[in-house]
Amino acid sequence: MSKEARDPSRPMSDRKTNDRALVLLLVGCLLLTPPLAGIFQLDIRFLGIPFTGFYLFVVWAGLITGAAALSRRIQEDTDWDNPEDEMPAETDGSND
Amino acid sequence: MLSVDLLLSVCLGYVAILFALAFYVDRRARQGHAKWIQSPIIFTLSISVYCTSWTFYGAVGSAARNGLEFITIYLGPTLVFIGWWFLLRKLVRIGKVHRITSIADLISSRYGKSSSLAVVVTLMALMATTPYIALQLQSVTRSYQAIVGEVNVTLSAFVIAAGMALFTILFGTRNVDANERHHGVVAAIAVEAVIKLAALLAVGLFVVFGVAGGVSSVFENVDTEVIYGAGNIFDARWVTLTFLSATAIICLPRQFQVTVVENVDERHLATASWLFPLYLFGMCLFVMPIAIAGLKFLPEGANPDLYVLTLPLSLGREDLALLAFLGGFSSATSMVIVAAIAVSTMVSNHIVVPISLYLLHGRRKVSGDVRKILLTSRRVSIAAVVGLGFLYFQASGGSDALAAIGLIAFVGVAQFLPSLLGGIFWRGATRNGAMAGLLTGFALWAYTLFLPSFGGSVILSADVLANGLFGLAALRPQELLGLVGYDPLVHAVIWSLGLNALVFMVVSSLSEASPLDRLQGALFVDVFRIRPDETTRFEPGQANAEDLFVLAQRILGTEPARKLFDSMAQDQGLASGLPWPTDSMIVQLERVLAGNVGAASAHAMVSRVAGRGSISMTELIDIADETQRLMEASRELSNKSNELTKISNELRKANQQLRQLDLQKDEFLSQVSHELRTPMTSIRSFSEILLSPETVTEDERHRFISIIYEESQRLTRLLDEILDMSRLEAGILEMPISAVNADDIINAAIATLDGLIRKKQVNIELQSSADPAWVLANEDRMQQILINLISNSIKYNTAEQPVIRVRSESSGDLLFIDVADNGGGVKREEAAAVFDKFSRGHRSNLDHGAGLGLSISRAIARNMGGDLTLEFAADETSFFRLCLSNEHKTAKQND
Repeated sequence: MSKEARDPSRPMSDRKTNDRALVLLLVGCLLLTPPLAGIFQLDIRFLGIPFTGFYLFVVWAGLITGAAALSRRIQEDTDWDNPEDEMPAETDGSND
Repeated sequence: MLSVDLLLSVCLGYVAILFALAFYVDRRARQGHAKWIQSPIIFTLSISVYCTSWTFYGAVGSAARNGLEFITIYLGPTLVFIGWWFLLRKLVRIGKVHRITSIADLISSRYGKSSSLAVVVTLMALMATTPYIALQLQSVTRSYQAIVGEVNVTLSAFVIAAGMALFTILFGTRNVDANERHHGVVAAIAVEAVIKLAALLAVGLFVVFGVAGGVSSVFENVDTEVIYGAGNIFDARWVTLTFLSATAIICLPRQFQVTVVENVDERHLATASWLFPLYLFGMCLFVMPIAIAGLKFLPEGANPDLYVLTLPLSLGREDLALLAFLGGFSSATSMVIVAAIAVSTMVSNHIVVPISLYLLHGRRKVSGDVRKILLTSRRVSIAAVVGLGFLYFQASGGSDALAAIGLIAFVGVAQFLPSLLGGIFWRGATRNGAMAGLLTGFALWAYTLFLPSFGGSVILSADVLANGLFGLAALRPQELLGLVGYDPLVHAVIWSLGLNALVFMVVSSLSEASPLDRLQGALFVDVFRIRPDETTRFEPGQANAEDLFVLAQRILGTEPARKLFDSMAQDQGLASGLPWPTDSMIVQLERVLAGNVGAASAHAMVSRVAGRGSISMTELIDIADETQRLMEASRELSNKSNELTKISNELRKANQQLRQLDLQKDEFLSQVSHELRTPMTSIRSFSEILLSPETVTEDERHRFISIIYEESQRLTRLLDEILDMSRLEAGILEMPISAVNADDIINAAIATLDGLIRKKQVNIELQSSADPAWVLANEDRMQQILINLISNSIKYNTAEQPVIRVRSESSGDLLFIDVADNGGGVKREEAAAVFDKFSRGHRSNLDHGAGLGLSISRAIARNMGGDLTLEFAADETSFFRLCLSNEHKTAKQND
């Protein structure tokens, strides 16, 4: 990605992408761990599949889709020679 | 029933294909062809070494025992990869900038390149990895056993271990530089990743659609407890497992190896961020159905850990069973290979190399090549790591205790997490803090989880497990200090990781960081803000380029070292020879060496050769970019001061000129006032005499009045001249120039002076050129010059028979009018001063002229584009020469 290709409104959208990456991560953490996940532990079947299993795999697939969209966005937006113009939030990413 | 021969030949064939592929890819990559091997997809597939045989067989086993809980092992890594932007990206960048070779290298490099920290991390990694490798050997032998029945366990395990070690040695130690990708290994692992996914999916599809007959029917008549496990599924264990698996995907030595060390492009992470979770998703999709089918169709006592294999086997699908066996084999081998590479790099760089450095201390000129020692040590380390795994497998006798080892290893490597995260996000983290935290966490892990996992057979007896150390209930390994009611795993995580983090933070905040520790901390935490080429360090000491070259030669080999030094010399603008051992050159060299032997060893080697001791605090002051800024500011300042010096020089010169002008003006004023004073004095004194009538006769009165009259005339003339002078010098005297006839003007001037000429009886000789001479001049002013020249000649002439010669003569574009006389002329030594203001020649006593006449005349002549000079004839007599421009054309037109 060349620098010339970056339009002036870009830094704004960079920050947006950055925020979305953080939001996706937090949403994933919240939906997959208690107490929020406990809400979906139901003794019912959905299409013959135990609901909790269905829920977990759907959330998982949703996270993968979101990550794919973001990854495309980030790859387009980021000036890989100078990525320091975006400040990553200091999150360890491994918490849950 | 699958025959032993068939299974063995398929197995050997598969291994042969892997060897051939690795060999082929390695060769192609060496020739610079296999670009596809550096694609993000291959990168993602290589990360899938996360899925070992523990996943391949164990996930189904776990699902059969505890229901959906198995999924946490894959949710943690999913979350880490979705959040790659915040953690993995930074790790990869740091790994690239600092040429990190392993997780031990990262932690040691961050905390002041501490070698003791590297050793501790290496030993911990070795302890956590060895049982894990044993687990892989066990699963392969058990799956083999499941197919062919009774086998010699020891022999088969040994053959497998030896094969893996051979493969790793062959393709994992091609180059010393651990940063370089092992292309052959990566290709083999990528193929294995595809095989294991395909195998699991195939078995899953067969079970769901071939056996159960559809998705919904799989779960028919299945007890909820089978799927959700006993009680609440989302409990502390769920959170702990998710957290542990998230930690493992970062801290496991083999994961660190494939994700950080072997990464060639940060961009690949962006693809892996969704592709790797998708891979895990695929691995997990059919785990639950396979487990349920296993529980349904297999006899009561069947081992759930082998359902993937035994299910198709019992249902008569031997082809699927064979595929499943290859999948499990692939999972196991890829894990062992990468883990062996990762751990052997650590062992070699942090334990073998420092020891050999110590042994070689003082013997600088060792014969041979350290490179060879390095490669050998890495190969021996690989064999040792795999061999340890085999011994562990033998010692544990293939017990079921191994099954739990996956999670135990996860908790073990999770001890790296506080130091790792603290190291890259917290500047204040210190070496002492990291060391204290690691040792605390490690000890608690061993006491609360690792040793109890042997069930009282190793070190901790069954009695200690039940009643606590020394019989103290508070020291019960699985209920430490009375912390009861938790799952043993959760208990161990709370204690080991909790205290690890706590001790790390407390000791870090209490202890002082060493200067190098502080510098590395700044470089790591601010890795995105610092350009790699800007990092300098401020260690004093003289380095010898030759010694550094010898060192590089010994580690990199002669040819690569020569290339490196040549490129560094070129960067410094040198045409040939060794580069200057500047700070940046030494830093660069150290980085390259760190890629081979690890940061701590590279630092120790370079420091010894470069004669660099410890650095003092004042020399460090702050991180590199701050110094850069200072240097820029000082350069700007010095530029400005240069400019100022130049300006002040110019000012001084101008001032000097002004002062000289001022002096000239003062002199001129004093001369003018002196000249004015002489006539004024005589006018005043004669007026005074006239004011007292009784003493003055009529004759005297008449004489005095005429003196006053003459003096006042002289005064007027003087003032006129001064006025003329100032106007001429200011350039405001109007002097219209036109073509005039020089002869006419000479005649007019002589006519004006007729009275004086008669009185003094002067003989005027006129010599005019034949043609009428036309010149560009102002008529009145030219006449004034000539009158001045001729009258001077008359006035100052001391000869008996005064003769004045005026001759005009054309020469090219110029007309010369010479005025000479026989009255003594001007001496050569006076020539220079004759045109000065108020100067009078040696004949000045004859008249009271002000001495401005010649000065004015010359100014007028110059104003008209000509000049007035004093010339000397051959006989040393002087004459004045007025020089003006001829104007032929105009003259003719005017005629």
